[in-house]
Amino acid sequence: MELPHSNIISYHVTSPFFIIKFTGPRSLNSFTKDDYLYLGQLLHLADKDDSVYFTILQSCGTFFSSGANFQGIAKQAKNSNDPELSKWLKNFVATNLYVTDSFARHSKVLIACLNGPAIGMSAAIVGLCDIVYANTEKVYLRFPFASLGLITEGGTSITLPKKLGNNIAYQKLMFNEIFTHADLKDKVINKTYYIEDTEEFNKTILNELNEKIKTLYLPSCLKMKKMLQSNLKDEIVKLNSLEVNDALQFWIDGEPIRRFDQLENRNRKVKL
Amino acid sequence: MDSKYIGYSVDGPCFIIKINDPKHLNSISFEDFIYIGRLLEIANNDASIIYTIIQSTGNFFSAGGKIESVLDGQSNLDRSSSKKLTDTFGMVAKLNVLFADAFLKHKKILICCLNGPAIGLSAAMVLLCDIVYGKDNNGYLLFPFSNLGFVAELGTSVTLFEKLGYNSAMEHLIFSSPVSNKELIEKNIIVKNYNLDNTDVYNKQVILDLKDKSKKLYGPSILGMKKMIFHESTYKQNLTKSQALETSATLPFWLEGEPFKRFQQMKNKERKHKL
Repeated sequence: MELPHSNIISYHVTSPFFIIKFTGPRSLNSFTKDDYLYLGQLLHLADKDDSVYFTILQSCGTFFSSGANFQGIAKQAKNSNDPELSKWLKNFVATNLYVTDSFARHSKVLIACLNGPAIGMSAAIVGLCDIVYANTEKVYLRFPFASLGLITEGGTSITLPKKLGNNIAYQKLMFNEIFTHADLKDKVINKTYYIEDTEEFNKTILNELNEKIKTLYLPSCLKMKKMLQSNLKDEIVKLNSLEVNDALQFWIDGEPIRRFDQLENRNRKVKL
Repeated sequence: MDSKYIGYSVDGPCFIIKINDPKHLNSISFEDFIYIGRLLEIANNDASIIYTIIQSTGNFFSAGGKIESVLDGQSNLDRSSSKKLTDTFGMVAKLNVLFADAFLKHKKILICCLNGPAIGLSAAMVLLCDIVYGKDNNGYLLFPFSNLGFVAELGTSVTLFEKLGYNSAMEHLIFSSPVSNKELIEKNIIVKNYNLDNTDVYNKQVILDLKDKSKKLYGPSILGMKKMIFHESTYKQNLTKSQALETSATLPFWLEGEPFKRFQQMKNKERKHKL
């Protein structure tokens, strides 16, 4: 399979681990549409590789990922002559649906090594992972949908209420408040390493995993994932489709782009 | 359509329903529960509303259904009489189906401002809300169904399990033991504790906070997210199912009369909620 290229996502396979690494610290690991598509394709690659049992997301620098590169989306939208409907089907619906589905139906154990905050779609991906490790208590997840004129995406309509609780999911989503380490501990974050250095943090996790799997029969792990996953998978798959199709109208109405422009103008004024 | 003890007002994006009978610990007659249901419908149909807020007065959120209302529903007809069956069914269903459904249909964000303990139907109403704030550490939710001789009503067979977890829901339902504010805070059911003494100050502060937060938020996003989280969820499907299941499960208990006996004992002060 010919994979599209991404400058800031790389991968390597050290069986039984398929390691995906975000390598764009200068942009706080924010992703373009193509980066997300590449990520989805890597998951499919890991899925098909029989030697792989764990798919691990690592990042670098101080941010896990600041989410979609809004500037790119806005530019693309303005330069496109497509009718609004096809523009947003192409730029939003298709990508989002594909990436979320790749995670929701992934057959290997998904582990996120959270080295810092995650925002938006990237935070949603953390919510889709089976196991999450944190480097310090400074990590957080933020879903600024209500501020950006969007709605829940990446399965968050179901993953957040299920994993963190119904009432707190409402409070944090509706008012664009952050999920702190304290909110996530024991519910999404399985273990906190208290290691500041990201490289050391990533390495420590891999060493530990290597140690842990020595005595395990790995096909058991995959079968158990399949069993556990069945509780949530169907709902995520359903919600994913509903989320993007409802969000489509928000993009067509133009509120997200309007809000992004306002944000840009404010930033420009601050700089002047 | 009016009520002496239930008021409402509109303030910006907020539709505020207020329980106002502090002398009777804000216990609510069945007519007033139905009235609250109709207010929910009004809020639901008002395009300018984003939040529907339930507030109370004094230091008790609500002691639940008024004892008199319950006893009014008692029929002295013979157990085999069809009229007794339909009358009793009507009493049970108007709360567990009609009133419950007003919550399930609601599109706005339901916010409950707990200012103290809530019991029975009122505690069940708290759990049907999307967001709950607390006034202070004192308070609890109590579901004394086993103590009063009937079964889980008004969605609690689903909401308690979903929000407290299975084992805790069992403990509190089987033994009619209070769910303390401590547990409600730990389990993120009360998402924010205001730590205030005065209920009026607290109620006002919640509204100020909501109006302030809303300035930067896009209303349709908020309602669009609730649509995804609630209206497309299996949680809602289960709540819908529970209307029928709970009604059918509780009806024989009311027909047999055990709850009436126990409510009568409460009225005569021979029985207290076991706290």
